[in-house]
Amino acid sequence: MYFPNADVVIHPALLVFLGVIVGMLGGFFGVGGGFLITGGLLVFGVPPVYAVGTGLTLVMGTSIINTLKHRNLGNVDFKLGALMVTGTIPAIFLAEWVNATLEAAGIAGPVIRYVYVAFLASLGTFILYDFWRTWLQQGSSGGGEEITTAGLTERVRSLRIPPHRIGIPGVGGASTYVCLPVSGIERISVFVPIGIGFSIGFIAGLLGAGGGFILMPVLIFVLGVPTTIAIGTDLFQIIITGSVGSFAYALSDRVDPMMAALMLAAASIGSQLGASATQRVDPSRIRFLYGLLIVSGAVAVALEEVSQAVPGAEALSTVASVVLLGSGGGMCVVLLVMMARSRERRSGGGGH
Amino acid sequence: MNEFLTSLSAGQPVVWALFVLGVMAVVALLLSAFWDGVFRLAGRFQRGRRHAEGDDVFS
Repeated sequence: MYFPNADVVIHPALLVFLGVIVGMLGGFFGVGGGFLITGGLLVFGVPPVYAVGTGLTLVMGTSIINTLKHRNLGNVDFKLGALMVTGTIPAIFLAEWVNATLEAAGIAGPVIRYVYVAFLASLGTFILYDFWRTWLQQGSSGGGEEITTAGLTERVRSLRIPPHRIGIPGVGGASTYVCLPVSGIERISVFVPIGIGFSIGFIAGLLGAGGGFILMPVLIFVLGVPTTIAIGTDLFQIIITGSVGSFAYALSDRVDPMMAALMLAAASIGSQLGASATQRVDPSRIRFLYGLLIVSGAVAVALEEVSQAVPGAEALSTVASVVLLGSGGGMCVVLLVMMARSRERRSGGGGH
Repeated sequence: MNEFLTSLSAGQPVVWALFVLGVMAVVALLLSAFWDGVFRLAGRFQRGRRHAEGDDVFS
């Protein structure tokens, strides 16, 4: 099948395969999956600028589908998401400006990418460590919503940040503390979620990523939001960041809408499966699988770096994409098996 | 149609970018509504079958 904008011929089955994986992992982990899409499209021979642009457009589309699905499951905290977005949008533009300044000074490039690898590896390792600790405490039945950073979440929630009231002309004074019942937060300063949104937007913009992969663990381990709510709210946030990114790429005509639409149709099937799986899999296991995915992402980015830094090691770039696609595909198989087992247990339990 | 889209992407980049975003958002909403409908129908069908099986047991 010929895609005129990207000027490339790709078998549609490959795009459908990639779309299903991205939709499923997006629905299950609450991530946009930009790194997976870009890696996959590069392997399929799509020029890099089109791979990124088309990937971002697909991220926006799948996030809309996944958010709607999670909303039906009661997993989206729109109030928390809206607060974070107010911090994220200016941070993305600030990060772009910082990136451009660093590039002009000749500092950006490899340094940022090494930071990216270290960041991914640390995040993934921490999530796996957290699972291991809670697993030791709770046993093989699964740790549920138990996390090792409960003390930190308590402190963050009880932060008192001035001003405690702000004057709105014509309305009077309004408290800067809100209740977020969907996330199980009784009272929190609005500056905490806005600050989190800003930090995530800045880091993500600096690393050239969507930020969903950072926000999900931050919501769980820093704010103490339940895993499924963190997934749904994260997806809501990605709609905004994905839209900003895809708009920027579409402006310079670096998006192939036909390719994105075909993958979106496939991703919509995966989304239904992934989002439904969050209701059947223990939250601690969702976090464990997420940790594994992040670690494999770190390995893939590291391989990509080596392929660019070492002369003659260009083949490692393909290995990196294969590692990403392989781990993504393997994760989908694990999810399907887990869902099937849960279904068996339910029907078995219902029968007795 | 193809010519119109080509001229739009070349001459009106902002309109083109908004068009791409709009099309993707509409496609996403339609797909979401489609799968929602399919799963509801499947759920109804499954419940109907369970009821029918239950009736068989007691009849």
